[in-house]
Amino acid sequence: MKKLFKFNGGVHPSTYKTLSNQADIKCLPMPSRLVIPFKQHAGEAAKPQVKAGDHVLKGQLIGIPEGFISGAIHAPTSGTITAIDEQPVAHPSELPDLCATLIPDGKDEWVQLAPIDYRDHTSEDIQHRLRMAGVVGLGGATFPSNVKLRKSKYKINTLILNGAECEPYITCDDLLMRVHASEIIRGAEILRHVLDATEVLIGIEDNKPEAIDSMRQAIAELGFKFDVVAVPTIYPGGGVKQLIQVLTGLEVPSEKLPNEIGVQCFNVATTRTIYRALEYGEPLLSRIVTVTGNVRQPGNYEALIGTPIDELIAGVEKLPDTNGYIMGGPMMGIRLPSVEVPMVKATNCIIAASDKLFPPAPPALPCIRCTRCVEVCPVELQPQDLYWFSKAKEFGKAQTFSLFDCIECGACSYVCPSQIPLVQYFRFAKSEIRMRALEKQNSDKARERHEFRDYRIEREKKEKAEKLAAREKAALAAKEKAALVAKEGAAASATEPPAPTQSEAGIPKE
Amino acid sequence: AIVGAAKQMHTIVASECTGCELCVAPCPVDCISMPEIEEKITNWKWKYPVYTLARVH
Repeated sequence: MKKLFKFNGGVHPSTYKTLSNQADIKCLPMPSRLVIPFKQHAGEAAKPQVKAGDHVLKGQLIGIPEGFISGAIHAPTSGTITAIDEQPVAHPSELPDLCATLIPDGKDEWVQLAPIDYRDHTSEDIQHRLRMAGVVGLGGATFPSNVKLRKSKYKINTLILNGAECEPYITCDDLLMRVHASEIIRGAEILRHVLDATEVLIGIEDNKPEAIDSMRQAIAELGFKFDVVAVPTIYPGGGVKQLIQVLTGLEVPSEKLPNEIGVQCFNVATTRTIYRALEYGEPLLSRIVTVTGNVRQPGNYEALIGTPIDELIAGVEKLPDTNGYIMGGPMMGIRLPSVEVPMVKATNCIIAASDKLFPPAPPALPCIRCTRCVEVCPVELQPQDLYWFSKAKEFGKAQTFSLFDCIECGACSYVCPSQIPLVQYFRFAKSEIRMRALEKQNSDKARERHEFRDYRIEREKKEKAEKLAAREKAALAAKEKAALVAKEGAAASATEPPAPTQSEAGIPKE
Repeated sequence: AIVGAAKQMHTIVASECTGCELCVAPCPVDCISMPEIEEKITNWKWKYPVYTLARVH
């Protein structure tokens, strides 16, 4: 039995997993249209490679990655691109973003794929292929996976697969592990090989016994020495720093990354996508989505990226008192601005909300300093002080109290007896601090440029003055020299015998 | 930042503009406009939470 460690705090909300984990993964009919945003990942948006009117094949590259942290975007099926323009997307700002609208032609024709044997390729080559296959973290953060495989000065000892899925309602990883365990395990072996890790640990919450068995069976069949560890069911046990702490006892230092302590962690769905990207050459085109909540037939669906949410939920028969949708889980998810936004790589779950399931937030009461929030914080922060400083906009103090280590899990607001929306204050403070840092950078650059311009003008003036002075000096010197020469000439002519007069010079006298 | 040769049309480097508005007045052909920066997804930030507090009698 592997020794497990604990992390501070955590909460036990009702999990609602049995709503959607009783049935197999279902397929969806081809949607009538696909809207594919060019930014579905952390980092810079992909640059469009197609224009309106182009015909594309399934898996064709339609957005090329830009910059070091970026991902590629592909056409999820064959069809015609009808527009490259701003469309409503699932973002808390409710602002639109650049998307490609694709009308499927029903043929689902694949582009030419290029599978490889990962053992014949260097780490850099594999990283490049994963970047061009658009593989990003499917746990929700959508960080480009190729960047996590880069060689750094830290040796990776432990590869961890995150199958915890700690948020209530979400069961897509559970079903994936039950059905596609062997692909996940093969993907894990590829990652272990590329990172040259010594051990592989797979953390799965103990409320998923079928998934644990399925994964253990796949490991035994494939003959690998990976360890499936059943971790206690607690929210947010699936957070990467929390999972690392439970499985290894190691704490990721404040504002640092797991690779600095020799650990790298990938979600199980991302691992399977990595396997398929290399073994089959398939880019990331679809994912499993849990559709649950106020619906008659909750379940998991294999859906194409870019499927509009209204078509995604068409088959689940939402109940009449549904008043909105949440993308993600009840703790960290966002309310969708409308049901016509498209599904993206980060969409792991859609919850149909109603007043019964998600009653409107009661008005907040003042903070009574009860410190229940401090007891549950998995990062051992002090939410009540962070709230105090964020509310008063004392951003320096908030950073001293490690605001940026907050993972925004929502455990603190979950237990607050005054129902204060704590995470909203932290998000506000974080984005304000980031914007101010950016503005300071820009204003520093502008000041440098201004100072150099002043210096340049001064320099030009000085050069001009010097040149003028030099010219005047030269003119003066020349004048003096000329005067001197003239004087010498006059003096010389005075001492010489007088020049012959014209009559003596030979002009014949008349 | 504005660059250009003497007596020729100048170019405004929009990404380096600080919004100081000193260029608008001297322009002899009045061709500089200062539109407000639109809020897009790239420069959006979380707003300061405003919530009604409960009345406690």
